[in-house]
Amino acid sequence: MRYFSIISAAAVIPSVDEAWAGEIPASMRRRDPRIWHMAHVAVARCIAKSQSHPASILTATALGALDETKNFLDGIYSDGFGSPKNFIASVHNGMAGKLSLDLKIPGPNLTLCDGPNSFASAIAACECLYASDFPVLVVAVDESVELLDRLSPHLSEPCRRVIAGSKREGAIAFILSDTLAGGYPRIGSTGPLFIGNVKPDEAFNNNIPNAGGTPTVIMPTEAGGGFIAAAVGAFDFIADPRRARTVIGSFSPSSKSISLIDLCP
Amino acid sequence: MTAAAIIGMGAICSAAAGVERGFEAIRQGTDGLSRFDAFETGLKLAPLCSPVKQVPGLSQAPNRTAAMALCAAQEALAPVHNRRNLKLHIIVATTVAGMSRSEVFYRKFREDPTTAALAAQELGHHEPTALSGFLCENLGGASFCTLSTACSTGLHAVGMAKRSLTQGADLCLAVGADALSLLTIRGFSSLMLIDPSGCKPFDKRRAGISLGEGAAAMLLASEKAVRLLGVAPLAFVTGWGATADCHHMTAPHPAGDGAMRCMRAALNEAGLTPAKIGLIVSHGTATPDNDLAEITALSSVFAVVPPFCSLKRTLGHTLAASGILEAVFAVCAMQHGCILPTAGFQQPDEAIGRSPARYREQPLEHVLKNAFGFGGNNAAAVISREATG
Amino acid sequence: MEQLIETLKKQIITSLKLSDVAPQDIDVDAPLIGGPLGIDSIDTLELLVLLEKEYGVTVPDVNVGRQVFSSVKSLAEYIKKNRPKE
Repeated sequence: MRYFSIISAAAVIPSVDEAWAGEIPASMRRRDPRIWHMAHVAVARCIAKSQSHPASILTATALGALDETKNFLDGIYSDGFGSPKNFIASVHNGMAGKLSLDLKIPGPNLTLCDGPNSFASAIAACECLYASDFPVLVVAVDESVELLDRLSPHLSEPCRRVIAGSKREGAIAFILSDTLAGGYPRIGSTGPLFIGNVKPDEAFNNNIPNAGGTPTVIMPTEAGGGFIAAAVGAFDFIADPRRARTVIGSFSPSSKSISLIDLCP
Repeated sequence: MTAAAIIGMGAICSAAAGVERGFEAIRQGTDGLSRFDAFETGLKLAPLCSPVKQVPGLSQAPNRTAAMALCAAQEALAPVHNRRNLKLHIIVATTVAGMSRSEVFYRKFREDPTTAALAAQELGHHEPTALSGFLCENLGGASFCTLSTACSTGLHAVGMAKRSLTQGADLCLAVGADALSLLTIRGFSSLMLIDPSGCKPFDKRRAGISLGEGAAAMLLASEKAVRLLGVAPLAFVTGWGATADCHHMTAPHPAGDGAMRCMRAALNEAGLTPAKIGLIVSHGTATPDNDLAEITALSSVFAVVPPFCSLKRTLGHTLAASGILEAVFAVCAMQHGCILPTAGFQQPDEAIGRSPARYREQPLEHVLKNAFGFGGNNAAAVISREATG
Repeated sequence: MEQLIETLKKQIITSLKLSDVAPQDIDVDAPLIGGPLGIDSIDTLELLVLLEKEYGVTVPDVNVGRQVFSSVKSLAEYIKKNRPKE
């Protein structure tokens, strides 16, 4: 497992941040989906804080713009007409493409979709990049979807917990460097690990990275649930000046897998 | 820049289940399209598509995409009888996963809200990571990641599998799968990207894509794994390029800028000059824009453009599967020593200025595969008979 | 024809969510794509859906499309010429 330096980070969590909508560029308001809006604002804030311009983009999203997919299907199922705008917006890597367009980032552009493990998956995926692809912009984003809220009572308990998480909607952007100099906080990830029928808590304890010392371990339920919980946790870690090494676990019921991210001050 | 050994391959497509039978259809230049009738599309005229006629194990799998993915993955893993405690890392490529099942549930739910009671088993199929969990469960996978970058995904999965081996993984399976769904058929249709009379790659009369479905898998192994398992590599992935056009959300850069940089990056990693490439298996979707931009890019990279082909009339455009599926057949072309034909091409386009090659026998040392996706996302990979560099 | 153009303007505004634009602001002879309204090729795909949904009119291919969407007036003329007779 490799570690990367977090040069800069910014978050848009609509439930606690009313100002964010004012930062959506006029050109994006008319047509682009909500998750692109959140990602754009988070990225703009992140880049403003940092001197570096990313060379590549990794986005992490559990469901993409699911609302747009639903709207497209609504069109087909109601009057037989699906909106092209909804379809384009529903493509999982649409957001990554839009970011590369707006920021003129011509390097590798990847999108990881691993449920609550998406952010961890993206951090692990950074290990596949070359030095010239750094700094890398990593953006985790998911939105709350009214349809899921409506269907939630009929889903399994672990799934309900993920969907009902308090911080389940938002965008968090990080700029990572592959050099460990500079005194920046560092992050590493196991990426998704398949656990089958092993209990998540047991699996977490068996996989805590061996970076020395006894870290604070945050389990998914404590992290507040939600698809973006790990990314929110990483952001909170960076924002806390008293931070001590922290390991954040995520659990994906639909793929029977966990992931761990290791955050070092 | 270590090359990654390909020690197993699997494929299921409209032509056949299995790599050898699928390759035979490719070699013959078979027209793989038929009028789609698996379900009602709501279009006045159902498009010409390449559906898989029989999906093995469909009734035991959660959905069509999962069944196809498992089929291809099992074929790719077959050469390894005893994994000798080596951990299997799986990189999964899919655009809509099991959406073909989720969308049926959603339609029923709209008509009858009490259908919500079925949500637990019917809703989550479209989640890409669910496909990966299913594959790990059935293949003994230890870890995975799930990529979704539209039509370039499969090839990115191959490239990431290659890189994973340099980061300590021993066995890495790249699997790509997508099934035909109402979402994709109506989606591409709403973008006016589907050719009503079937795709005609590089042809003067080309007017769009034809959708297909399928799955493919490539098992890559580290040098250590190859020795331990006592297997003979089929070929090697020697280079991977990944770039973004930064031009437009749905149309490629007209000069093929991102594609050009991508191919150069792949060649660079492989340590090869363009002249070493014997065959290009293009993205060749047959949209007016893609084919022109792609050939423009090729002309920038290659002083002498090698023979090129598109397999999309035989296979249909299989979205996330396409990058791996067509790369598998590129390996076959190298094994058999032949240039592949382009079904659906008849009339050269003066604007493109070049025609795809006809089938002929020809020894090949290195093949280039391209795959370009929505959002200006580009992937390229070099596959070689022997490890380079 | 005048009535059709007025209705069309309102439908374009709604369909493309041009919330800052009023029907009287739209110049019927100005280019639609890349013109003053800031409409691009993806928007014209939405307009194609509008054409079929509201008027039962389709556009056979991209080349005819370019001509049809060259202005609000040409769009109206195309509809008038091709809409199914009641």
